[in-house]
This record gives sequence, structure tokens and C-alpha cells, in this order.
Amino acid sequence: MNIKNSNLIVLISTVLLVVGFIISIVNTMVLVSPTEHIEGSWKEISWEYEKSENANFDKKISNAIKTEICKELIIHEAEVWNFLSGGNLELTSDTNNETLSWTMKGRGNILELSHKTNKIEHYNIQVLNNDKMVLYFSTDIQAKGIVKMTFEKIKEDNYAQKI
Amino acid sequence: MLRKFSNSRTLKDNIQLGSLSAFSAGMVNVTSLIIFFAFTSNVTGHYAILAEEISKGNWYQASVVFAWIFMFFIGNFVSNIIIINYNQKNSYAAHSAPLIIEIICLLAVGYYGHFHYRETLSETEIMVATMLFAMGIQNGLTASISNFSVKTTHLTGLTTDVGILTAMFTKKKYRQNKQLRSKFNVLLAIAASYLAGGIVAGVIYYEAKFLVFFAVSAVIGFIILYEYYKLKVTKYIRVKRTSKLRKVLLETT
Repeated sequence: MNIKNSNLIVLISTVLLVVGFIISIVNTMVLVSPTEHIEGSWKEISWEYEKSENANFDKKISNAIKTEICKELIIHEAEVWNFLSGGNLELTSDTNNETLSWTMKGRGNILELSHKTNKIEHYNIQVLNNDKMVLYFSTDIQAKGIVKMTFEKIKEDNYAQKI
Repeated sequence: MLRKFSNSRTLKDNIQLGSLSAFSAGMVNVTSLIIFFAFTSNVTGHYAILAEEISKGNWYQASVVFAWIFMFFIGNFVSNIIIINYNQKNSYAAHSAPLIIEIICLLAVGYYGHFHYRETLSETEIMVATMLFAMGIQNGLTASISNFSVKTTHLTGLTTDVGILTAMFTKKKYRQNKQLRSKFNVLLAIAASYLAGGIVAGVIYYEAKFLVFFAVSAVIGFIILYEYYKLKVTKYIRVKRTSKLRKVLLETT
């Protein structure tokens, strides 16, 4: 490869990198961030083990085990999670209402929830889009494993009607 | 450890520079992992994450990760632009300037984190970017002035080298090779310092939170001041010797 070609490759690479960086910055300003995606109300759809130390373990989590797992967590048993823009999270169920604080870490892949008692929990955001959210967390209850929580976004109109 | 460039460096220079800068890199990386859930002293994982986010169609996250990788690249670029342009004029200043920029970045993160951080995602992204820039500066500096034998934030390559050298040392002729033994010592010193830095930062963080960045800055500041001190001492000894020699010459004539 001659010097002229090498110079051209260096120039093109540098231009691509700089353009890529500019596009990245613009994207972060224009595209919907995970923070904006998560705001609103989410309904719990399912709880199941994503991975378990026991291969023969049933992946579906029963209500009894869910109750037991929730005793260890600050999220307790909630059916609807309402993420407010100010950083508050309202957890509502038929029997209980609770308010927590939420924030995101990393590149928006970690959901941090904190309780008034200063207890903090982290959930891995596996999927987050306009309709669906999937959270993972590790648990030691029953069989050590990763729990997968799936949520469905409650559209504003439906939620207003429901209320 | 900062004044000498490339091939004129001794084993001691490389161990000192490697250990201290790896210690600070370990501190920064562990702290950022605890606070922000993101690595800041290496970008290998970020390349994998970038590919993953693109394949998932998560363009926002992909853009953030690309910007982080770019900041590490720019850090390396900036430190080497300074070295290339000013090394001939004043090697100590040329090698210290990137470290001063690194200190400014880390102090900014420490100050903002301690007094103003509201734990929003955009703040997290900017602070991670700042730390990646700082680590890029440090890695670019150490790699460049040590003729690529010291890379304080690149432990994948380091572990590979340790594995290769360990295999080579099963043969007597390689065990007796002084150069290989020296390289092995530098690598072990870097790995141990990186780990030690991470542990120390972890302990400090749970007590002092963001103030840990002031401790990292103090370690880097020590590198600059130690070199300045050595420079002054060397100059003083040289002046003393010259005046003594002059005195002897005058007496004999």
C-alpha cells in the first residue's frame, strides 16, 4: 500500500470517527432516552425464572413463591408500577400502595430503586420499549436464580378510563 | 518515571510508572462500576455492548456507548498530541501536562458528584464520558512514553502477556532471559497495583463516596510531584558536581 492510500485511509477513518461522534451526540439529544421510555404506568404480566441453578426447576414462578421473594424486596407485591418524571415510583396493588424513588444507571440498563429506609435495589433492564419492559434480578429464594419480570405499558387512554 | 522517553527507560522507571498509574486506574474503574454501573478504564466491553445495542436496535444506548468509546480515543489522542509536539522542548512538562488534564477531569467528577449529582441518567453518561477521557489520557501517556511496554488500563493484553511469558518460562533459556524476566515483573506489578487500587477505592468509597476521586487525583499528583522532586535533586547534584570539579580544576592550575 503506498503512502497516498495510507493517508487517505487515515483521513477517512478520522472523518468517520468524528462524524460518528457528532451523530451520537445528536442522537442522545433527539432520540427518546430510557428515562423517558420508562415514565408512565406498567402492568406486571409475568414472573418466571430466566436462569436457575437447578436444571429441572419449573421456570414459572407460582404466586406463593412470588410472595416469598417479594418479602425480601422493597417492591413487595405490586400489580401496577407508575414511574413519575420527578423520580418517584408508585407501586399499587389491591391491598397495598407504596412510593419509592427510581433512577437509572449505566447506559440506562440498570434501574435503581430506593426506599425511605435507605434500602437500595438494582434491576437489570433487559427490554424497554413503548409497549414492553423486562426486568431481571437475582434471588436466593427457593432456588438461586435470575428472576425475569415482564411488564406491559398501560396506555394513557386506557389508564384514564380505568381510573 | 516521567522524564525518560521510550527506549531510554529503565525497568525501575517502568515499574514505578506502571504501578502508580495502574493503581489510580483500578481506583477509577472500581468506583465508576460501583456508582455508575459502567467500566471507565477499559473499552473492550464497550465494543461488545455497542454491537449488542446496535443488534437490538437500541440506538440511544448505542449512541451513548459510541460516544464513550470516542472519549477514550480522544483522551489517547490529546495526550499524544501534547507529547509529540512538546517532548523535544521539555519532556517533563510534556509528560506532566496530560496528567494535569486527567487530574482536572477527575476532580471535576468528584466535585460535581459530591455537591451537585442528582442521579439522573444524563449526568451519569457525562461523568462516565469524562472518566473515560481521563483514562484515555493516562493510557495514551503511559503506553507512549514506555514504548508500549506499560499499558495501565489494558488488563486483557496484560493477562495475555503474562500467560505467554509463563508458558515461555517453562523453558530454561527463556527463564534466563533478563529482558523477559523484567517484562514479567512490570506486568505483575501493574496487575497487583490495579487490583490493590480497586480494593482501596472500594473501601474509601463506602466511607467517603465521591471524595474517592480526590484520593485518585492525589495519587496522580504524587507521580507529577515525585518527578519534579527527582528533577530538582538531579539538577542540584549536577550543579554541585560541576562546581566541585571547577574548584578542583582551579586549585590544580
